[in-house]
Order: sequence, then structure tokens, then C-alpha cells
Amino acid sequence: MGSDQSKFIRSMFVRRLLLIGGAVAVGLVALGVQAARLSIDQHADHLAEAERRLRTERWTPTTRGAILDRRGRILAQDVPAFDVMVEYDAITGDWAYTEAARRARANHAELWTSIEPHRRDALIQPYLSETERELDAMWDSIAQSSRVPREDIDARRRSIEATVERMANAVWNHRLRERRAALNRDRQRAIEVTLQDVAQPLREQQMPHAVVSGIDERIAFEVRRIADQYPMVSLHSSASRAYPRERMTVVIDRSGFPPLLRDQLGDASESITVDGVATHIIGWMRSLQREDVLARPRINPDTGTIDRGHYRPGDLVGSVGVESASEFQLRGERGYIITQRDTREQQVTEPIPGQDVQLTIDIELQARIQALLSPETGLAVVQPWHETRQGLPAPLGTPFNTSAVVLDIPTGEILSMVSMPSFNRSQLQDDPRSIFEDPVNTPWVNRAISRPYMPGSIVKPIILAAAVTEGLHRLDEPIVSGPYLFPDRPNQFRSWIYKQYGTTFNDMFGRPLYADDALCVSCNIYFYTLGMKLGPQRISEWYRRFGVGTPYNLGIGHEYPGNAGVKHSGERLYLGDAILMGIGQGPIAITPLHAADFYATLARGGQRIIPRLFRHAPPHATDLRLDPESVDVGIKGLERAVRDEWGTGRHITYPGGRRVLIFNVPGVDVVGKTGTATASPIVATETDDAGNTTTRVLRSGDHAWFVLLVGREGQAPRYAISVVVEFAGSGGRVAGPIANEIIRALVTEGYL
Amino acid sequence: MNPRQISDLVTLHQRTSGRFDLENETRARAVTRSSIVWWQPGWLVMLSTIMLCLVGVYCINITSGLGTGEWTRTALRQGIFAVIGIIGAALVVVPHYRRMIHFSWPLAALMIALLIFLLIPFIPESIVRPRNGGARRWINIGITEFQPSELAKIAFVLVMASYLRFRRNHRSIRGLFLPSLIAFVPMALILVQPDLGTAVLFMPALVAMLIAAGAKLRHLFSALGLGAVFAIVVVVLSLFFAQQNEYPLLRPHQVDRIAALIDQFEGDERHIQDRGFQGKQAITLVGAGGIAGHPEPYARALIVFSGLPERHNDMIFAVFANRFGLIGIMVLLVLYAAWVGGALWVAAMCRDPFGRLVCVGLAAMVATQAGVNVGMTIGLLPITGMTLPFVSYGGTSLVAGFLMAGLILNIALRRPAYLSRKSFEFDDDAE
Repeated sequence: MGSDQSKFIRSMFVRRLLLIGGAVAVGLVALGVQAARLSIDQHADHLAEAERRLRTERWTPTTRGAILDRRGRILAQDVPAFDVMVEYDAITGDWAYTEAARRARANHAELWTSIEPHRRDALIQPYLSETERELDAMWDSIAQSSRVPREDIDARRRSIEATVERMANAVWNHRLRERRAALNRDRQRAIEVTLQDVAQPLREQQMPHAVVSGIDERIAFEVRRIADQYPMVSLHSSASRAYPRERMTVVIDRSGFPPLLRDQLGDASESITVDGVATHIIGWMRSLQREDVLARPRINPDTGTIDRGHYRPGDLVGSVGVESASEFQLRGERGYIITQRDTREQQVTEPIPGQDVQLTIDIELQARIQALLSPETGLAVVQPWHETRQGLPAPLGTPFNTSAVVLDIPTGEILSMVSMPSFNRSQLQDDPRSIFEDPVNTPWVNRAISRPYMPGSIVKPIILAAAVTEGLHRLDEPIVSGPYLFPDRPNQFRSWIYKQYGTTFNDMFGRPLYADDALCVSCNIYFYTLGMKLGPQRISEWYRRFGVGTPYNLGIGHEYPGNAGVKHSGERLYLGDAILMGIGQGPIAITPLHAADFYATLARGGQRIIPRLFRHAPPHATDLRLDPESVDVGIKGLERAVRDEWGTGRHITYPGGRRVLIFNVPGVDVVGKTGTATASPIVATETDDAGNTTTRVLRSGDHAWFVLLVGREGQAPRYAISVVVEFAGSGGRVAGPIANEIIRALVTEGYL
Repeated sequence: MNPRQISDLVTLHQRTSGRFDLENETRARAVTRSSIVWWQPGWLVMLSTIMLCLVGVYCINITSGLGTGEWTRTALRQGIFAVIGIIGAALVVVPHYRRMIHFSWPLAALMIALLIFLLIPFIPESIVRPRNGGARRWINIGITEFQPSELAKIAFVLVMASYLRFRRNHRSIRGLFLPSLIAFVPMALILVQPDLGTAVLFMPALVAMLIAAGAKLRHLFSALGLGAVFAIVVVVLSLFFAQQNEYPLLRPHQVDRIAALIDQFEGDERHIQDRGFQGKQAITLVGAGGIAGHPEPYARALIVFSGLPERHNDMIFAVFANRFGLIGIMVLLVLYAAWVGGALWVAAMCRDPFGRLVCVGLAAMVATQAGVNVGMTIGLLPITGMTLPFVSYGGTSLVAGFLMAGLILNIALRRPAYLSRKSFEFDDDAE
């Protein structure tokens, strides 16, 4: 009994033992297999992960490259600065209690774990006064070292605490509402959720905040000693971007100003402070957005290695202008320190500072021109002598919005590119609406390259060159300049002098006009004729050859490329359009840079060099193969416009008949052309509650142009200058004196 | 037959009828005391225990940090407890194990009393100090603290073996009821402390002892099956409710651990910094050990900077695996296999029902505890509070472990009575 002979293992007990043993064996095998999987299969991954925890990695900051002007003056640079960061619980003062608790626990270890949490307070109290005193001493040290009054620091603490608490309450209440809604959605019996349930500490309540910002290296050195002493204090490098020449003071000599202006403001030199010098060109910095991080990810997708220039939270990115366009060049790469926590070895990779970028702009010239265009100077505000047959362009004293470009003819470099109004970068924080929501003045637009203007008469020299080069017109063929172009259409394509004074140029000259005559007096009939000869296709093509319709790609942001021959309505071009385009009206729109560019090309005899803003950019030249004589005659016409008695750019006639020459700078030769271009008004359409729409005209009138070539006396022209004054009426009256002062500025800055 | 054999038979007959007869008892003692078996698998068990204990002391030492060259206080304490344990084992080996049958019920009653004592709320905290957020598991006896639940495990095995040794009624379903009740009482008391890990160990011991004692397998498996279904339902419901932040069945940290294991299987790393941290770091350290482990300084660094919690107790296996690699793991598993296998072998060789069941019960406890601890460290099971027997830091559990080894050695040393019948052979009944 007790065992069965027929079974293989005779004893039942042993069979049962084997069953148990078998179960244990199965477990062992499972454990062994899994252990083998971890230790062999996944070994490399786990070892890498474990070793990763042996290292701490820290990025070290780098400096952003500087932006320099053509003479190496610093326009934008990183200024090393530091923030004093203090942990949030030290800011609120809670640190005193938690530290006291920590000390109590350390000193009474056994007792501590045995009593309940709410009874530990008695143990903590004795340490509390000590920790509070230490905390107070810390704040005093910080105040003293960073040279900030203790009251200011406390005020800043309160402000941080208030902000964070506000944020926390908003977040928690939001969570509470969401949690309640989620839990009670389908219930009859509501589940009570209290604020306690959702009040997990925010990240902001567990991280340090900047109590003092922007301290320099010297002070940072002292604060560092405090940071070593108190673990809740740390220094954070926060290089800030400084624009040392954002605000400049220029001394303007008024001796060459129009006499009535001199009477008004006095003869003495005036010191003008200009805000926002070259702001449109240089740009500014903004905070990081998701697109920036995605555009330059941490792991370079091409090489698969870490991109040390990648964006980390808190970084600033260039926005607008050179800061944005040259972001990759300026940015630089961070350094890297890997510390082995067990051996304390460090592997240091040095940061690579960003590259500097040099512009062709002369900042002092730029500031000077901006000063000239500032309202205080008086040149760019509505003055009594600006009155024309249409009256004053705007109420007296209204500032004009203006733009001016100065090009260096031999190289195509842009010496100055001004758009007024401009603004200081601080205004971006303090009052952005005044910049971005002003529909008339649009301060944020760089008028020199982004705003379309009807050119008007200033295009006439290039139309001449175009027509002659095409062989459609001969310079020795004069054109009869009557009152209107087509005898059977007296109300179309009229001569401006006929419209205004009832006479014709033919009458004035006593003969038909040659090209230089027509340029001198800006005869419309002559150029209507040329436009007609060229026809819509060719005239559009010639505009394009001179650069209209192709963006310059200067690299500082949005550009208006120009429009030659594309109509709003989408219709094809008719002959009438070509006729209008002959005098710079109709479907043609350009920027002040285009205007300067046209004249520079003419000055070079037909060599077009695309204007550049960066010194390192190589010049790109094309030969337009203009008929040389047409160019010469064109320039002669420009000369006569400024010199001849009937030249539209020679003088201003003041009320009372007094004539004063526009150009009075000694030692220079000036040739140029006025333009009074019909422009579309700026209107505001308002719809009231009843559905009635009213249209208000905010600005209207003609744009006032003056484009000129200037060189040292007796020498070839060296610089092309274009000036446009919006809705100002007469080119000669308004833009002329401004152009004159720009020439004077070039002399003052040593260019002429 | 000679007179001696006759008297043996008589003695045995009297013994199997369960009555206590002093005269026969004395004679039986005379029969049995004279023979000691020196060459038996009990030494395997003791040797494994000592070696595992030494491994434990070493591993506890290297959890202390980058190392100062000195043995840490914790490791030294463990060493002292090892010495106490060996002394205790020596004491346990001396009397014949059958004596313990008489002590098993009083011992169990004492243990129950201590367990109840732990739970009484107005006991001053100088005697029962709650730790880890209110767990009441230790009694302070001045120089150290001891954990009654560890000794309660041994007492339970003794009691259960004593109860089952001459019975047959556990072969019916109704007969399973009382053994389960005997298990249930201490389980419940330990569960309330709370100490889920230790409480759960009673189940495998009970089941293994019932299997070995001849309970019908289909009864047991259906009971286990029901239990498993119940457990799965509880787990699934708990996970479901946890998504809405309710915890009607299991407690939050328990549901968290199950969820963390599921995360691990799915490769979901969202909660790796809170609930998944311990599991992930354990697996990382084990995997980083590779085939041969790392030299001590490097292993220390990896362990310290991994941030692994409970390094010296629950997670000691990860420390060991990192230091000694897969080879070390295999050796460790072999040591446990030797312990369990040795205990089962002793059970096979022993004829006495009490001895057999004690060996089986203790083997089942050790196997389960080691298996669950290693399993949770390498990511097959959710993290529990179970320590690695003989290796993890813990004075009472180490001493209890040595006592277990001592008991098994005791059983192994005794030559079975001549012509004694093997027990638990129920082949005349249908399986």
C-alpha cells in the first residue's frame, strides 16, 4: 500500500513534489530568459542609459555676433548681463519654515519619524527664528551687492509672488472646473472636487525667478559669492542685445535751410535727438516661437549630430531686419560641459561666438538724414510755402511721412536708407499699438523698400534712354509739345503747364522740344509720345530691365518688388496705359530704392549694379546696353532741370514772388529731377451699427519726389539720392530742400 | 520478527492513531534519536543560505555610495544578524523536530497575539513605531526592532504541517476549508498592518502544502482559477476607476504600480519620472550589468547615480545584477534552486508527515518570495514590497531565514524510523 506499481514514479508524494518543483523550474526559466534578454539583448541600451545618469551636461552660453556699419561702428551687440535668480520658496519666505523643518528633522531623527506630521511643528519652532534671520540676511546681501535698495528688492519679490499666485489660481480654477465637469458629466450624484485636489504646485512655484536683472560682470562677481553661500541663489547669464546707436544726437546746421524756415526756427545750429536710427534695417529681437525651434532642431537632420546652435527656452531670435535675415550667421554655437559625476572629470567644448555682420550703411549719415526728416527740423512738416493750386497738402504743422535712399554709384552700396516715422525698440514693449495699428503713418513699414509709390516724372530720363535705345525715337527729332497729346481728345493726356497756366511749352520755347528741354521743364507731351512709341509691352519690359518687378533680396525682410504693367483689374495693357507709363503714371509703382537705382544706372552709362546692404555680398552687374548718347542727353536734361531758369528743380518761388535756389551746397555738382506723382488717397471706411458706411479720406494728394545725382565739383556723379515725401504735393517745393540738406549731410560726413 | 521490530510496529500503530502515549513516545524517541544522517541535502540548504547571506552583506555594502573603503553600518548590522541567525539555526537543529509539533500551536497563538498587539491603536510609539507613512510592522525591543510577521510565517508552516499530517479530509472540498481558515487569520492580521507582500506569501505555502499533502488537484486548481479570475477582475476594475481618480478596491499606490508595469510593456514613457521610475531604474541597472557585471567602483557609481530607491532591501537584486552580471544572476538563481530543490529533496527523503510538510511549506515560501522579487526587479511583475530572502537587508527576516534553514537541516539530519511508512500516499483513492 502507499504506492502504485503501475506509475512511473511510484510515490504519489514524490510526484506531487515534482509538480511543485516543476512549477518552480518554470518560474526559474522565465526569470532566466528575461534576465538574459535584459543583459544580452538590451545590454547596450541599458548601459548607455545608466551611464547617461553618470554625466551631467551643461550648455554654456555664447555671444551673438555684432552688426556693424560700413566704418565698423557697432550697431547691435551682445552685452553680457546676469540675472540674480532666487528659488521661489525663498522669495515667498516659505523657505524659512522648510529649512527649519529640515534642521529639526536632522537633529531629532528618531523622534521625528515617530510622531505624526501635524505634531512636528513644536519641534520646528525653535529653528524657525534662526532660519528667518538667515533669509533676511541673504536678502540684505543681495541688495547690497547688486546695488539695489532693499525696498526695491522686496517690491520685486511681492510682484513676482503676486504674478505667480495669480497664475496658479487661474490654472487651478481652470483645472477645478474641468475636473468637476469631467467627473460629473453623467452622474446623478455629484462628486465633490475641492481646490485641494487640483492644487498641485505649478512649475513656476518650484523654480527660481529673477530678482535683479541685467547686472554687469563686475557686480556679478560679488553676487557670485552670495550664490556660493546660499544654495537658493544662483546667477543666470542673460546676455542682452544692446543697440548703442539706436538714439543719436545730431547737430543740424540750419544755414542752408529755406529762408522762411530759417525765419521761423532761427539760424543757429540745433541739436536734434533722433530715435530709432536704422531700426527698420537692423531689426530687433523677439522671444522664441515653436517655428524657430522646429526650423533649427537640436539634432541636425542632415548630419544626425547635435546642432550646438539650436534654440533653447529663453533664447531670443532676430525679428525683422538684419537681426532676422542674418540669424544663422549671428547666432553662434553654445559650448558644452560634460561632467562625470563619479570622477568629477570635465569635458569642455568651447562655445563658438557668432559672426559679425557688416552693413554698407553709414550710421552717422543715416542718423543725420533721419534728423533732417524729423518734424522738429521743420523740413518734413507742412509749411505755408508748400501751398499749391490744390491748397495745402494737410493742415499746417502736420508731419510728412518720408523716405530717402543714398546709393554709392560705383559700387551699388546703400549708404543710407531712411524711412520716417521710425521708433525706438522700447516702444515695441511699451506701446506696440502705436507702431502696428496706425494706418496712416504705419511706422513699422520700411518705406524705402516696402511701400509702393507712383513715380511720376522722375522716370522720364529712363524712358528717354529706353525709347532711343530701342531705335523708336531719335534725339535729333524734336516733339511738338502742345496742350494735349491727341488733337481729337482735348481732355486726355494734357500738358501740366497747360492745365495750370493755360500755356504750352511749345509757346514758351518757341519751338518743339528736344529731349533735354523736355527733361528740364518736365514736359508731359514729349514723354507721352515716347510712351506711345514704346507701346505697352516694350515700356513694361524696359521698366523691368531697370529693376522694377524683381525684389532686390537685400535680406532684411519684406520688399515691394515694384509693378510694371500689371493692372489691379487684371486687364491687359492698352496703349493708353503705355502713354501714362511714359510719365510714370498708370500701372507703374516703385520704391525709393528703385528710383535711386534708376539714376545710378544712368550715371554708370547703362551698367546696372544691384544695390547691396551687406559688405560681404559680391556685386552683381548687368549691362543694359543703353544708347550712350541718350544717357548723356538724359543727364544733360537733369542738369538743366536744376540750373536753367525754367528748370523745375532749380528754385522755389515763395509767396510774394521771391525765388530761392533749392541747391546751395558749395563744392558739388548736382543734377536731378523733380516728380509730382498722382497718388491714391488713404481712406478709412467705417460702418456704423445701422449699416451705413462712411468713407473718410485720411490722406490725399500727390507724392513729392526728388531724385538726383551728386558728385564733387568737376567730377563724375558719385552718389544717387532719392527722396519721396508722401502726399506732399510739389516735388520741388517739399522734396527739393530735403534733398539739398542730404547733400550737405554727405559733405559733413566726408563723402563729398 | 525480533522483539525490537515488533515493538516498533506497535509503536507505529499507536503513533498513527494519534494518541499520545508517554511510554511509547519514549521508546520511539529511543528508536529515533540514535541515528543522524550526515550526508544529506539539508547541507545544501544551509550552505545556500550562508552564501546568499554573504552575497547580501556585500551588496548592501556597495549600495552606500562611491565608497570610503569601510564597511557601512548597515552591512555590519546585517552581518551581526547573520551571526545571530546562525546561532539560532544551531539552536533549532539540536532538538528533534518532532518536538516542535507540540510547540507549534502555542507558538502560533503567541504570534497571533503579537500580530494583534501590533494593531492595537493606543500602544505607545516607543514600542510600536509606525514607519513609512503609518505601517505598523515592528516591535521595539530595546536594542533593535523585530518583525513578528516573519516569525508568524514559520509558525504558520509548523501549524499547518501539524494539522495536516495525519488527516485525509483535505482530500475533499470541505476539508480544504479549515486549512484555509488557519491561513486566513494571520494573513488578515498582516494585511491590515499593512503589509501586502508578506501576507501574500501564505497562499503559496498553503497551496504547496495541500498539494504535497495529497489534496485533489482539481479542487485546488479550480479554487486557484477562481482566485485568479477574481484577482484579474479586481485589477482591471481598479485600473478603470483609477483613470477617473477613484480607488474603491486597490489602493492608489498599488494601482500605480500595476499601471507602471503595463506602461513598461507598452513602452509608454510618460510616467517614467514618477510611478515608472523605480521599475525603469531597476531594469536599466540589471541590463547595464551585461554578462559579467562591472568592477566594484564602477558598479557603485552606476548604482548611486541611478537614483534607484530601496537599494538595500527590495531592489537589492538590481544592485547584485549590475555588479555581477548575467553570470552572477545565474549563480544566484542556482543558489535559490539549490535551496528549494534541497528542501524538496529532504521532503522526499523524509518519511515523517510533519517533516515533509514543513520542508514543502518553507520551500514554497522561499521560492515564491525570491521569484516575485526577482520578477519585479526585471520587469515581469509589478513592484511589490517583497524583499529577496537572505539577501535583502532586514534583521528579523534574515534570522527567520536561518531558522528555516535550521529546521530543514534538522529534518534532514534525522534518520527515518525503521519500517516507518511513507506518508501522503493516497493512491488507493482515485486522483
